[in-house]
Amino acid sequence: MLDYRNETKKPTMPPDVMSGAFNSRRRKEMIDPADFDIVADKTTSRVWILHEKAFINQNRVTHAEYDTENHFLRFVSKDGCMQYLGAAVQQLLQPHLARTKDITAILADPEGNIKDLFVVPLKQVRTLQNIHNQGEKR
Amino acid sequence: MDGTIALNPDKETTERHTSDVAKNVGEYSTSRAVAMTAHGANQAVIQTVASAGYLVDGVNWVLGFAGLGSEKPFLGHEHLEEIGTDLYNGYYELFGHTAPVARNETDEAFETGGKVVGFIATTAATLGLGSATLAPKIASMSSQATKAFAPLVTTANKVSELFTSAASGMKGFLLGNPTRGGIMLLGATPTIITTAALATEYHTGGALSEMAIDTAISSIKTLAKSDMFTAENMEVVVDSATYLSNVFGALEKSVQNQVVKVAMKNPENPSMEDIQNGKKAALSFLLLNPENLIAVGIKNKIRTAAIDDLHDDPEEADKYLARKFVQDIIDIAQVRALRGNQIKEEDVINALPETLKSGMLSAAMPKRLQNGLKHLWPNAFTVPPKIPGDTSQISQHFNKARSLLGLTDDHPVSMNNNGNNSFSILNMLKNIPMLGGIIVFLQKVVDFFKPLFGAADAGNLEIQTNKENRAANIIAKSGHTIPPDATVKTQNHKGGIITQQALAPTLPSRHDPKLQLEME
Repeated sequence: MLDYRNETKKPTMPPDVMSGAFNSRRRKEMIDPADFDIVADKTTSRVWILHEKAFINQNRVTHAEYDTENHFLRFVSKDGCMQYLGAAVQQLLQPHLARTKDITAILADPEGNIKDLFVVPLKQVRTLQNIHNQGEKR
Repeated sequence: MDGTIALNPDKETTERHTSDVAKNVGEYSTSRAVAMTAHGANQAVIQTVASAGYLVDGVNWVLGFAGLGSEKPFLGHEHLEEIGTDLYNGYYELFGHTAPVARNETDEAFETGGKVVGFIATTAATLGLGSATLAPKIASMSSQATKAFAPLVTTANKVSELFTSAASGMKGFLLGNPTRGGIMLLGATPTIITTAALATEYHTGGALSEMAIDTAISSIKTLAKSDMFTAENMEVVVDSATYLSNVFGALEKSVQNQVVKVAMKNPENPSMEDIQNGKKAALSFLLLNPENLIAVGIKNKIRTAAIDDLHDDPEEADKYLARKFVQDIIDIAQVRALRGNQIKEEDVINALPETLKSGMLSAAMPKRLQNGLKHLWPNAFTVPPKIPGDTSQISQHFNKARSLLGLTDDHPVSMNNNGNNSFSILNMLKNIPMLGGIIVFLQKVVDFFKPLFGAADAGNLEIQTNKENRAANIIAKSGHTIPPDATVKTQNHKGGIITQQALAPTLPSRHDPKLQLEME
C-alpha cells in the first residue's frame, strides 16, 4: 500500500504558474503526472524522463530547468514554450536533479515501445519564478 | 539576272536553279529538324521547371507548416518560371522568335496542371510525403515529412544554380555551335534526368545516377573533339554531372549502396559471409527508415481495406497481406552492391525478429499482418526482439562508414557553452544527409540505452512514478533482459514512502503479497 503520510507540504504548482504569469504570452503546458516517470541512476545521477505523450515541439526542446528550491522541472522549447512536469521532484530524485548536467527524455507508448528520445542540457536555478521574471524584463 | 525566270533557260541556268532549290530545301529541312528537336527539348525543360517549381512550393508550404520556414521566401515556382523563361527566350532569340511568344508558351506550359500534379504526386509519394499525408496517426509524421523534403530543399537550390549557369553559359555556346540542337538537348538532359530521377532512381537501385554521370562523361569526351567545345562549356556539363552525384549522394539508395559495400568488405568478389553481411546491412538500413516503413505500411493498409473482398477466409487474407508485405520489402530492398545476390524472401523472414519487431516498425505492423506472417513463417517470431536490431555488424564498420559518408561529427550530443544545444533522433535524421543518419541512429540508440540497462541490471535505478511498470516495460521492450533479482527504489509523484521492489515488466498489483515492499 502506498503511504502518503510522509508527503511534504510543497507548492503544488510552479511559482510562476501560481502567480498568474502562466497566462502571459509565453505558452505554458503542464504534463500530467500519470504520463511521466523520472528515473535516475543512483551512482551516476544520470536522469531520464520516461513519458507517454510527446512534448509540444518535441524536437525543438532546447534545455530543461530545475528549480532547486521548489523542485519543479520544466522543459523550454526554441519558441519559448515551457512545459512543466505536473509534479514536483520528490525526495528520492532531488539529489540527482541537483547534480546532473543533462536529461534524456524517452517517449514511449503505453506498451513500452520507444518512439523517440532527446537529450537536453539541464540548468539548476534557485527558483523558476526568478528565471521567468528575468526573462520578462529582458 | 533580273529576278524573273527565263521561259527557255539554257542548260547551265536550269542546273544552277535546280541546285539552288535543292540546296535551299535541304537547308530548310535540316533547320526545321534542328529547330523541332530543340523545341522539344525546351518544352521538356519548361515542363520540368514548372514541375520542380511547384514541388518547391510544396517544400515551402511544408516547411512553413512545420515552423521551419525562413523569413525570406524560398526558391519557388515563380523563380524557376523566370529562369525557365530565360532559357526559353534564349532559344527563341536563337531561332528568330520574340520574347512574348516564349512568354505565352511558357504560360501554357505552366497550365498543364494534370502533368504537373501527376509529377508532384509521383515524386512526393516516392519520397514518402504522400504516404505521410495518408497516415496522420503514424508517430512523428510531420517530422518525417520534413525529413523527406530535406533533400529536395538541397535539390531545389542546386536546380537554381544549374539553371542560372545553363541560362548564362548555354546561350553563347549554342549560337556558335553547328550541332546546336544536339547540344541543347544535352544541356537539357541533365535537368530532365535530375528531376525525373527523383522518382525513378528509387526504383532502379541507384543505377540511374551512375548512368547519368557516365552519360555526361561520355558526352564530354565526344564533344571535346569539337573545336567549338570550350572549357566553359564543358564545366556546364561537369557541374550538371557532379550536381547529379551530389543529389543522389543524398538519396537513400546511394547511401544504402555504399554502406552495403562497406559491410561486405569485398563487394567486388564477395564471399558468402560478405553477402550475408551485405544483406543484413541493406535490410537494417531499409527497415529502420521511417519513410520506407510508412510506404510499406500504407501499401498494407490499402490492401487490408480491400482484402476481405478478395478472400472469404480471413486467415487466407492475412497470409496474402503477409506475402505482399514481404514482397514489398524485397522490391524496395534491391541495391546495386548486392548485384546478383539480391535480398530474397528468406532474407526478409530471417530479419523479422531482429528488425521488424522494433518499436519503430509497430506502425507498419498491424495485427492482421502479424497474424499472416506468423501463419506463413511461424519461426519468424521466435527470437526475442532487440532494439534497434543486431547492430554488431554495422557497429563494426561504423567508423569506416561514417568516414565514407562524410559524417565527421563524433559527438552530436555534446553540449555547448550557451546551454541551448539540443539533440534528438528526429533532429539528427533531419540534419544529416538522408539515410546516413540511420547509421548514427543505430549507434546512438544503443549508446543511449546502455546506461539505463546497466543501472537496471545493477539495481541502481531510482524512480519517481505513479505507474510502476512503465520503466520496466520500456527496458523489456527494448530487447534487454532484466535480471530476475533486479530491484528498484520508487516513490510516487506526491512524495509517498520510498520503497524497494522488483523491476519486472508486468508488475502485478502492489497488493500482491509476493511483492511485499521492503521499507526504506
